[in-house]
Amino acid sequence: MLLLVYLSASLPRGGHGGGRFPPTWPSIPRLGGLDPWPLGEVALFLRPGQAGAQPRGPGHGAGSGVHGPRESGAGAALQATGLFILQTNGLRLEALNPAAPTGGASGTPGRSLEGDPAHPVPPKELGGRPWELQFPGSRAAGVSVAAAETSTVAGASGACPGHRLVGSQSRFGAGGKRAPRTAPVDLVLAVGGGGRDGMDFSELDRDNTGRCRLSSPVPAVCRQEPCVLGVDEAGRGPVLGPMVYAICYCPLSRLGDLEALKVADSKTLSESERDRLFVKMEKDRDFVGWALDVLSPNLISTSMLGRVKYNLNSLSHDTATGLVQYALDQGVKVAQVFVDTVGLPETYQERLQQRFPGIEVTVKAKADALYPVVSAASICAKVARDQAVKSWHFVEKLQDLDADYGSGYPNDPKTKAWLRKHVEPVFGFPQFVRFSWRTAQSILEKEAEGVIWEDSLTGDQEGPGRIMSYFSKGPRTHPRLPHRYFQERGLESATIL
Amino acid sequence: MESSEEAAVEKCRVHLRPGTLRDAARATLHLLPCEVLVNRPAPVDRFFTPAIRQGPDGLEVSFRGRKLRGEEVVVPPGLVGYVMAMEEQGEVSMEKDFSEGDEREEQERAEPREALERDFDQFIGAIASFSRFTLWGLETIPGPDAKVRGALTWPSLAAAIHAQVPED
Repeated sequence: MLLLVYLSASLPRGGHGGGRFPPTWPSIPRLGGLDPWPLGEVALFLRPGQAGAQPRGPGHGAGSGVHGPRESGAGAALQATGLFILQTNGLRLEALNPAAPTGGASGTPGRSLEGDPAHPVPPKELGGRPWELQFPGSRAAGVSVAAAETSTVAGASGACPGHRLVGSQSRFGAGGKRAPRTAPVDLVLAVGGGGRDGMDFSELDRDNTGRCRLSSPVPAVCRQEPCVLGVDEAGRGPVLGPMVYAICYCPLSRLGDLEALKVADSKTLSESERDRLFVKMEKDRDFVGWALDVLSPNLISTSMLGRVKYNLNSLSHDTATGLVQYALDQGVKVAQVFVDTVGLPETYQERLQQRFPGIEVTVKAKADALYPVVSAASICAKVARDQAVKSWHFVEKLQDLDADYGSGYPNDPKTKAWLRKHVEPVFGFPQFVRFSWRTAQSILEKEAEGVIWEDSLTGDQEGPGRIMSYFSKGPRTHPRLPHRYFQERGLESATIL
Repeated sequence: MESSEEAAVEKCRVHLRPGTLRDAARATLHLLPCEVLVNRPAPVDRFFTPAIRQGPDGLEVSFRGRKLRGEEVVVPPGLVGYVMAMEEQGEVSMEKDFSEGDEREEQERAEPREALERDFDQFIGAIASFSRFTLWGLETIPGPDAKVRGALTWPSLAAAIHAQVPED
């Protein structure tokens, strides 16, 4: 089903087969990780195959020229639709996800396609891939969404990985009731469900036993100008749920704009304030980018309880390093890095500086309160952690699961009670729990069955013999061991059951 | 069965219920690289099975927060695996098991009837059968050198060395 997004004012109701007002909110697929949708965010998906090519409406006449070369086929039809929207709303199309994902040099990052009738876009630019339309920096009132009555595009399957239409507000809402400046609207139109907005947790939902990386598109400007990058984490202390590491970056020249968002240490903000700030940052995606690593509690447990212990500090350092490297690999021109410390700042800073010699690295305690870019990272991390915990998909099939586990911190009585309630005598806890936490371990010691691992046997089986035994007269008595063949295969002869 | 050392070993005699071998349902088994100090049913299907992932080099899961890597082990041809359980004492023995019991290699031939049902007679029966199982190693795939794999080679070797040698 092709749904087109318009301002109600720009569409005469009658002309659209009685387009549905109000929109059917509950059926709108969630595009980002924010729940509930921030006011005014609208996302609609175009399902390939039924996409309309030439929506009727005001501006259609004026826009007739935009259809460009009249090629038949899905690509052309989608292009026509796209350009129609472009032109009516004074938008331009930006490639979110340039064809070549690596490196700033390859691909055409930040390529813009203006909705210009004089320069029609070749159909291959739009056809066959999902695209998305966005009106940034606006908020919503008096906006309606109409299911446009459109002609059918056959086989418009597939997908351009994230084209984004960026609009100026000047012509937004033209034609009638202009949406008040103070309360404009965000409209997102996506084809084929290419949801790249906000945080898309679908990968985490699919498998939350390992680690998962989410990221925003890299703003074009960040590939051209020297950038400042902040690193912070959320969910380091809790015995429940994942730990999230986040980076946030923007050009040095735009740091003032980031500060203007009034980002602050995520710990000083309420959840709704954090969500609001994250939405703000998403709106500034033309110069702010982020990426994050979600480390599942299972990954944390298995790392810390490994044969070779991999402690949380090392895991944190390596994850932070990995994220900075990821930004570099994406072509972000990182000039400065600010990191909220884990462990001793001096050694951490030295380690990072050695790893990234060309970058000015600053590691400080409370960096999330000192540097706006670290505050921004801390907000990304915290929003993601909250979201991941809230929508956690338990791997286990649990019966009467109690969702009230408190803060997840070990000293929270609610969390402790939850842990006690969910002990399984053989398996211990669900994987949502970090088994390596002392709180979890001590509950297991008391309330679950004992487990002996092959590496927990410390050589007390054949301790050193008594010295006097070497001087005894009689024959040295060794228990007769079975043949090596049997020892090597763990075989013993049994005579009784 | 040791019966000569009656003084040292508490006398006991074990009888197999042959009928159970025929009816035993197939079971999915996991052999863990650890010992759980209890013998009781566990919700494997709810806690363990759904957490198994196919990793780049074999199966992966975790148990008690420790990473396990696993692989399938097939029971050698000619052998069948059984999960055996001892009947609680006092349970009524079913005579039909013995009447229809024909010779199987693991089976102890039934004693004369009047000799049964003494307090040192015990009965075991199969509660499940298997022809493969998943062998788990702590953080590493057990591989071809795993003890269990070696142990599974013993029956064929034993058969060979105990086989009759032609006299010429």
